[in-house]
Amino acid sequence: MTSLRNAYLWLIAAMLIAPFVIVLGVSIGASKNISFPPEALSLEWYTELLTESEWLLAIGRSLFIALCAGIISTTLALAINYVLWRTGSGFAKLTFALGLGPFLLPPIILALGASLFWAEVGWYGRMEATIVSHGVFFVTLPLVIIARGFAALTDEVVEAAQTMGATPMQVFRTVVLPLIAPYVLTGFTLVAIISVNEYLIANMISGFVVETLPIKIFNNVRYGYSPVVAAASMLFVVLTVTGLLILSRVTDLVALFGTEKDE
Amino acid sequence: MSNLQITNLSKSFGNHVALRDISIEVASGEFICLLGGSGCGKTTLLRLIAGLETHDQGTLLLGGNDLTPIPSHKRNIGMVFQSLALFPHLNVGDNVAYGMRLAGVSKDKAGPRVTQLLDMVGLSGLEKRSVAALSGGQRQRVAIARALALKPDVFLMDEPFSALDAGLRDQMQEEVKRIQRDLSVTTVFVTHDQREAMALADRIVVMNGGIIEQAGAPDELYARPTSRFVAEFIGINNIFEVSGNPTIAVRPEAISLATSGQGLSGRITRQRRLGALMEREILVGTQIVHQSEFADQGTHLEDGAEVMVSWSDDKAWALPQ
Amino acid sequence: MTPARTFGPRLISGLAFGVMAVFFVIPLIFMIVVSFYQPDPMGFYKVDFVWENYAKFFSSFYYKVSWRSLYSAIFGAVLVVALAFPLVLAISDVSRKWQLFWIILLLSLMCFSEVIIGFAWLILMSESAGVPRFLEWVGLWADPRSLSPSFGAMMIGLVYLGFSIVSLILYPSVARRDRSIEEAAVTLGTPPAMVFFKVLLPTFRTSLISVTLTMFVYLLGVFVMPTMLGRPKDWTMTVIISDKALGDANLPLGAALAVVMLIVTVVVLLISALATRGRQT
Repeated sequence: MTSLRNAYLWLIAAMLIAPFVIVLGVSIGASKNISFPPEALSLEWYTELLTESEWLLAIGRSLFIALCAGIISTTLALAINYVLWRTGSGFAKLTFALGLGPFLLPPIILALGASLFWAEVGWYGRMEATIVSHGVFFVTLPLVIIARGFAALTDEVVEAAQTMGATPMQVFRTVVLPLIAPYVLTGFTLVAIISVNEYLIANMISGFVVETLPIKIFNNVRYGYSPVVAAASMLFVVLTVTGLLILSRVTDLVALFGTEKDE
Repeated sequence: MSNLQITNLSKSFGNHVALRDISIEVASGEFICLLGGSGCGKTTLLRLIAGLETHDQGTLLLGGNDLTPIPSHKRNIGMVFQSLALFPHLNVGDNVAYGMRLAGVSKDKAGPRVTQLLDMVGLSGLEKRSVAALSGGQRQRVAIARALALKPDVFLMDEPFSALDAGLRDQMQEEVKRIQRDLSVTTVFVTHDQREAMALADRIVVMNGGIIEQAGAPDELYARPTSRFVAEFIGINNIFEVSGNPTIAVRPEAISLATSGQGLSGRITRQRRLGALMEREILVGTQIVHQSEFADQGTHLEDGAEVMVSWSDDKAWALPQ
Repeated sequence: MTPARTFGPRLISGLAFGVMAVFFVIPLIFMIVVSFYQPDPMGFYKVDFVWENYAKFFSSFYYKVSWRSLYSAIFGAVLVVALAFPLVLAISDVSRKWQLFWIILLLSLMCFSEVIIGFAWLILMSESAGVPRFLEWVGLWADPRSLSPSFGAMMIGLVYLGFSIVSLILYPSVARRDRSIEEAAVTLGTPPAMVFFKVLLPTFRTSLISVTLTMFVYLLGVFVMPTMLGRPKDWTMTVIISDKALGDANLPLGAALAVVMLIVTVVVLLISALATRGRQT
């Protein structure tokens, strides 16, 4: 049984990783056409990626949008969870349920709705529109993750702080915030990573003006291929995996997504 | 130093009446235990004193001042919670210093006071330890030191030792008693364990269904419970209802057994030896009578033996109907 | 905590609700409104109230696209769950260090852009770099040709895309399951190989159904895989919607198609909610 299990694990791992091994190979190959294994090695595509202003601009835009969207998402998620935890009111529950919505709908619906909405508002084609829509649509993940943090926060811990003289604001600052900080950080990181990678919504809201990295890669693949795309993809892979590795140092990802430590 | 005056206090949660017209006065420096089963209102009363709930009616005075308009964080109280509620993100020293730091005391100034408090509870030198790395007893001590850090007017404890094993519980009870005497702080302690109440309290307040059944010194309560509920709660008591006569209560150790002579006739249905004590259950008519005596002083009796049950009148008392 | 006497929490939740309502709910409502407008070749749309955009949906072209979208999403969802469930079971039994490896791998894949995943598979299936070339090299394929675009390539892309999401949704409940139930089954005479069918599948039936429906909705909305890996005749409704909205600038028609998809999604979610509730009580 164990060997069968391990064989399945290895097979799936290989299938999941294989595409990126090829992309890595293409990105460090000297040939202008796609070929694997590479005949000669070269870093010219990476040099082009990191020196051509077009690519740098796209990278910069994507990172900026991700940062802002992450802040909007986590602030929203924190606010909704805080009120729900503090009052438990029906209105807070409704707001929480509303926050689960975007995750349940196919992105094309969100993208088209947002695109029509921003056109009507007059922000169609502006980066701010992409930022706000990313921030609102990706709220679900931090919402659910921060909720786990609040669930671990017992009433008695808060009451203890109160009996020692803490006002509601001080309770929030000295007890609530430090205890849920790892969850907030996890939520922020995931939103930022997802935003950096998102294509459809960004494209429909402002794709023709604000060309983010995924949009640029997509256009490049469809309308005239260059191996810089492979280098850009690898940059994404490295950014994403590095972000998650840092996160795994700060919070216990296994406990967050699965089993508790002392089981 | 402050005395606590509770007058006609009532509290309901929806349709459930948690406290009904409670009046009690706690003298400055007195140690009282609120004793009762779950749902009797003892924890609600404690939380009203702490300001964690607001009462519906009545007055709550501390040192003559009305507590009603004062929110929890402005009442000078120290509280130890059932779950202890230590802050997991702070170390031992920072947990104890929490209240002082909120009051604006600098870290350096708070240091000596923290050291003094940890010395008092027997945790010298553990300032930097993470609370997750502490044993059960050590966590109790941190919670006590933290609650006393601001020299509270009233010290409140909500069943803090219920999760400890028997040996450790006895030890913690002694320590709490010693610390309370040294500081002579007015203390209200909630428990469902009558042994714990007996060991700690200057005065025990027995509660049931949101009212006070009886309040008095432990000896007084044990010797003269004024209601059937208190009698049964304080220890296993034998209560005899004879029609036309007042209800009589007799403690197990006041019952004597004989193989012949005067008394009520019964049969031993169960007996067990607990160290020095022998405990028996005797079926008299349809009533189980509990009897206990020192095992080496009583007579040897077999299971199922027919016996005569009696007691001397000065060891029995009448309960009000 | 004492009931909030201050205005603060209400203000905060009002603001949060407002943000969600304005930027999430109103765009959806506005999209429904636009679906009744008249298309305007010169601009976006003309304000009107017509059913003609919906009438177009019932033409044979959209009928075909709808069926194609539905079966590729259903087929993909079932395939994803069938592959991911055994994997999650296997992960839950390995050491904590390897569990962390798997979680980071799956999280990375979940975060990776559709664009990058599509591109990676494009290369993997191309004649000069990927699987065809490998098959030629080992001598199994004399005349290698690119495997994409094709229906198969599109399905592989869809399955790959959904795989990490399904795994991460299933993982918590699978990792925390009460293992003594499986042990009890074994002590009662179930052969270890049968435990999967006799115990694990029935135990997780509800979660598996609900995650399959979630995946169905998700795959319905995927855009990049069909465009990158599929042929025009494999294109799903999502591609057509985007095409109508951006390419043909016929926003009312795009909106009407999206509303139909929204209705299908809501129906599937309701079925999912009912199925889950029925099993819990």
